[in-house]
Amino acid sequence: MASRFYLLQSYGERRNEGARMDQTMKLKPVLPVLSLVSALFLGVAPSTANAEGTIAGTDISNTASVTFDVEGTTLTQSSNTVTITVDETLDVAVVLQSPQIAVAPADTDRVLVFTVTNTGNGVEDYTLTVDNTDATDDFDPVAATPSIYFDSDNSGDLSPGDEPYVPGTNDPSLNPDETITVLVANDIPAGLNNGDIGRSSLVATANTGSGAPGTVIAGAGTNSVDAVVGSSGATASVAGEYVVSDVAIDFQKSATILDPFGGDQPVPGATITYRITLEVTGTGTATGLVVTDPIPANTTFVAGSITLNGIGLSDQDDGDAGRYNDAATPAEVIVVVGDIAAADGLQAVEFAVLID
Amino acid sequence: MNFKTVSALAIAFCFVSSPVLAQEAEDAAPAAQQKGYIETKTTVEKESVVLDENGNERVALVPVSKVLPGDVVIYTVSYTNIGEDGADNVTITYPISEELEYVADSAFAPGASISFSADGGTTFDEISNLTVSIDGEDRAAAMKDLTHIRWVLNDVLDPGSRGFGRFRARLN
Repeated sequence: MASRFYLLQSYGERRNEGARMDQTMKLKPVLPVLSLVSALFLGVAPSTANAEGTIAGTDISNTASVTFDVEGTTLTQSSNTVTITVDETLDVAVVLQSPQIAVAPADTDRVLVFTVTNTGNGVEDYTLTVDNTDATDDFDPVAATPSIYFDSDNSGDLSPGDEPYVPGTNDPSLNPDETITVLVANDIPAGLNNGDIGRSSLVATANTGSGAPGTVIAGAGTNSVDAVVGSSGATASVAGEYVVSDVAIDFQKSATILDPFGGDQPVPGATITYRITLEVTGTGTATGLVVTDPIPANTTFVAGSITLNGIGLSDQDDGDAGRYNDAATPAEVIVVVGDIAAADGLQAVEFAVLID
Repeated sequence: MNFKTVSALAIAFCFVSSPVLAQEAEDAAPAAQQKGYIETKTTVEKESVVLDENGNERVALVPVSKVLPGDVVIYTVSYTNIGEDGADNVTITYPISEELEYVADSAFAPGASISFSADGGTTFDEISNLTVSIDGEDRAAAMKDLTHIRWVLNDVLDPGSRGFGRFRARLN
């Protein structure tokens, strides 16, 4: 009886071009000792794992090995090698990054931010277009000139250094899984009403081809493999939204004097209470409102006198909205009012100073 | 290696199909003078809907050379003893390339014990007994961790006999 003597051989390999299907190979039996040497070549191939699938053009080749015992001798042989080649899937995803953008009539170069991702498995160039023809919105934004920019400085907004996109000249070429940020600039027509909505879509389409999923474009993929239109149709379009919002802020400041004698004369020792009011009108929200008021010359801030809507705020730079900043020259009172819409009503900041 | 449990797995396959098929004698004749020779041949195919002679749709295995991510392909290794002696312990090992993920429960090898490796072919066992080390911690091997499939014939492969093993894999 032959000894149990299992030898394993692995022929998994990968080439990047040139699919071939070998004929059945008839190999001479090899000696067990040599088979042991070949067993040292066992190993796991380096990783090419990819979120969007195996890279187009990859050849996957496999060979079976067989070991067996005949009259006490262990022999090893190999099968033919079969190779399958990974074709290219053409796919793309567009994602809107901007919230709804508040605009005023006749604004120019208002920017929507999108990302474009190659969700196929091969390097692909894409053509970008802006589509403002949405029939369900209240107005059509007007594509600026130029209307599409690459976010060259990664600022997330339109900056002087951002490269304009010119179709056919600098079509973005994306590796599988690669994402770029694209800025779409539109002008807002005049004569719109409060609350009107206008939509603008960024369209990205694979240059190799698009259309019905499954459409084959022979030889057009990476390393001349076939390109196959993927589930996205190799084109994607996503809309961003503008809303007309004529937010206005009504700002008032008043002062009340109380002198040491119970009167209202601005004499040394008199207290001046300042009252600053903010009121938002129109549609939308005024964001990031901050009241900063310097302490007048020849007066001294009254500690602990800051209030917002009647609620006392500490002088320190801490968790509440207000502080007294004596590091500034002149010293100043700072109150962060925040995001205010018309529905929030009147916002009142008060503080007091003493006349020196 | 735990051959008892592997054998238990093999029993489950035995009822599916009879062991190795007898081959026509003339097929083996040309190489009959070579001692201990087993010829193996691998094919890779894909299930496709084809029209038969009556115009009806049916699923057929067709040879495939081009695949897309997500495709499932079927590997078949057929073997024939074209020598003049019986072969013992016939063991067929097939690598599962990293781009491919073995489809659970798809292995089929009449008359053979099936086992797997998750460590590049060093150890073979039932999938449920395999572990892989991730960041120093052992965990049960998943289908994507399998690197090799192997089948060991339960009986001597007589001259002129043949058989096959088959499994499915999905392209990542």
